[in-house]
Amino acid sequence: MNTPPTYSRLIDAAHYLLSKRTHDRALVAITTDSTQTFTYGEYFARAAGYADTFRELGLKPGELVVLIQQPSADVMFAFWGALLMGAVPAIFPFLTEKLDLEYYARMVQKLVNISRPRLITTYPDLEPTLKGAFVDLPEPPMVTVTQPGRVGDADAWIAAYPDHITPDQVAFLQHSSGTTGLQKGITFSHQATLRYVESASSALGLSEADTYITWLPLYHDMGLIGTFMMPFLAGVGIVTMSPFQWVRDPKVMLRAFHSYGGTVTWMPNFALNFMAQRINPDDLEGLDLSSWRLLVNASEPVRAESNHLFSTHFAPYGFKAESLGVAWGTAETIMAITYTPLGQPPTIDWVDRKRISEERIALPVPENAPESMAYASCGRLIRGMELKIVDEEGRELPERRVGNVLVRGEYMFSGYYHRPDLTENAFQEGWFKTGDLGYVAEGELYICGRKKDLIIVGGKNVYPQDLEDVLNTVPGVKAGRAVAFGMLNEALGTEDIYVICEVTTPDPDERRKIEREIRQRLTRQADVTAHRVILKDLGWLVKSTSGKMARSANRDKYIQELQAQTAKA
Amino acid sequence: MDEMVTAFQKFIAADLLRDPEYQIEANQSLIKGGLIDSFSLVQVGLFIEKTWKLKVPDRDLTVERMDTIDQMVAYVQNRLQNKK
Repeated sequence: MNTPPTYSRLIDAAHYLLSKRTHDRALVAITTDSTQTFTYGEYFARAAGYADTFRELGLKPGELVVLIQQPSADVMFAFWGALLMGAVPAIFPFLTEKLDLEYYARMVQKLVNISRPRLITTYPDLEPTLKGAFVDLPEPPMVTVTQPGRVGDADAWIAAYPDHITPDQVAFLQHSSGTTGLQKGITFSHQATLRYVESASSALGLSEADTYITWLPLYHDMGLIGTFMMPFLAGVGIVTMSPFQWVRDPKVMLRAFHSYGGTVTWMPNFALNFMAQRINPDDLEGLDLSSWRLLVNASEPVRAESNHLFSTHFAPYGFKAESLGVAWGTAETIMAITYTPLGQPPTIDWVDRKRISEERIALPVPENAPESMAYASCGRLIRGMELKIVDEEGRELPERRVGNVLVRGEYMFSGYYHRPDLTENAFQEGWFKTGDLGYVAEGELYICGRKKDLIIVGGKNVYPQDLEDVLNTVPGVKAGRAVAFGMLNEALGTEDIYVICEVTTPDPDERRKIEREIRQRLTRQADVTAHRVILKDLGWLVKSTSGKMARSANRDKYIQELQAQTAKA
Repeated sequence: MDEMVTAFQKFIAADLLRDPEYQIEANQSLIKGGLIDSFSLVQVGLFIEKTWKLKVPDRDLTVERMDTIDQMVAYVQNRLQNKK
């Protein structure tokens, strides 16, 4: 088995895969109707077909192309099509059936205003809306529907790759969702991406003998890097299905592990609960999952219970508890930069609940001690990165003290695209502020919470300010008097969204109308489902000393109110 | 039919919303209206399977087909009729 050599630009990896692995399986795309297999040769021929189309449309090296496509093999071809010609691709979330078309168009407008793509490719249903969205811009991007199936000469594209593209240049972008996420096009240079892939692949023990099985969407960093670019650049075959297919029938994923001898996957925590709860053991008769050597749980807080639920549910079919791994990182560090050691379940750290919440000290206690609570380890740093825990004044803290997690090293983004102001704010004396709170014990990182009020639902980042912007426009809600926050739902293994708004009307029917309007708008404008919409009289919400709505203080107030009600009942 | 509507109302309020007091109209858009998310459809499917002893294929659990209680009731009635 060959180990791919070290490259300096993504095109060199393409050259290696195309010349040395032409006939090996690169991609299997499972859809509800069919299964298609592509060798590296076939894969790059399709990618070259896209490069030809892009060139005919006038796209030039260095220019941004935004891909808004339904999950499919074609978006993976188009991405590499752009890379082959030296253009900069970015995959953008497509319209879901719940989201309002007009709001979606406005979101894309915001992205276009900042990122200034030259070309947007999309699917027929969305084309008219997008075409109409940019008519007022001085230099509107071209909007086009590309036809799948075209093939081209990838060798010719590789031979003609522009010399002026250097390893430190931006190779591609990634945007997270929501109005706030869109402001931040995260830039990945050739060099940082390739070095990251080398180091992370080694932490995961990846080899060309592995096979990835995945359903993660590619507009998300774990999907784009974890289950697409990393295995692809490491020469590991990928078997994909769409997230919709997986939600409807998660067994498809297990059947793929069985049929293709799958070895590795990445999933957010909620997916472990979902699969264990959804999949009926009767449907698994004859399935062999023993080839599965690694399930990396990442992108939302890891619950030891979820890991346990999953491994016990699927153990009879060959899934091994030691295949569970945990990883942590941010899109700004390319992706996950801490990993738990291979072949053993993540360490569970039992600490004193009171000491950690009141004094921010992770004091170890026996598992059965009163007031004990557990944190799952996120593992150790991969080589090439440094991490430190600091207090609010920026002073470094010793082991087992909870503070802000800062990182720096070789694998960092090159800044937010066209937003030097945001980039500058993201760093503190050269260290990237991850926004997570955690502690280090015996060299392993434990994440305990977030400094930012970010909500993570099913692995997807939701910015509370985006939801509050929606709430503040709902008739009947006192403008500026609304908060959104997340609370853990243990059964689902992820956070639920709670919103509290102040309203003037005491009328229950009016309040019911407002509540429905809030739910509808949150779904259509922000693509989220609120678990609880709580309407309160004026004056209920707490403001911080700076005059802003204090999300965590209001969450605590709400919890206390609930507890008081329960105590009364 | 009214019993079926009530059964869905009770199930959605108590099990999905975890708020038994919550009032849901039969024609109210549940997923597009932001009351439940599409993951909850899986639980709706299991509820139908358990209550009316029907096997619900995954392809039927879509937002287009199951966004209101009226749609869910029509689905169950249709399936029960075809079973006879």
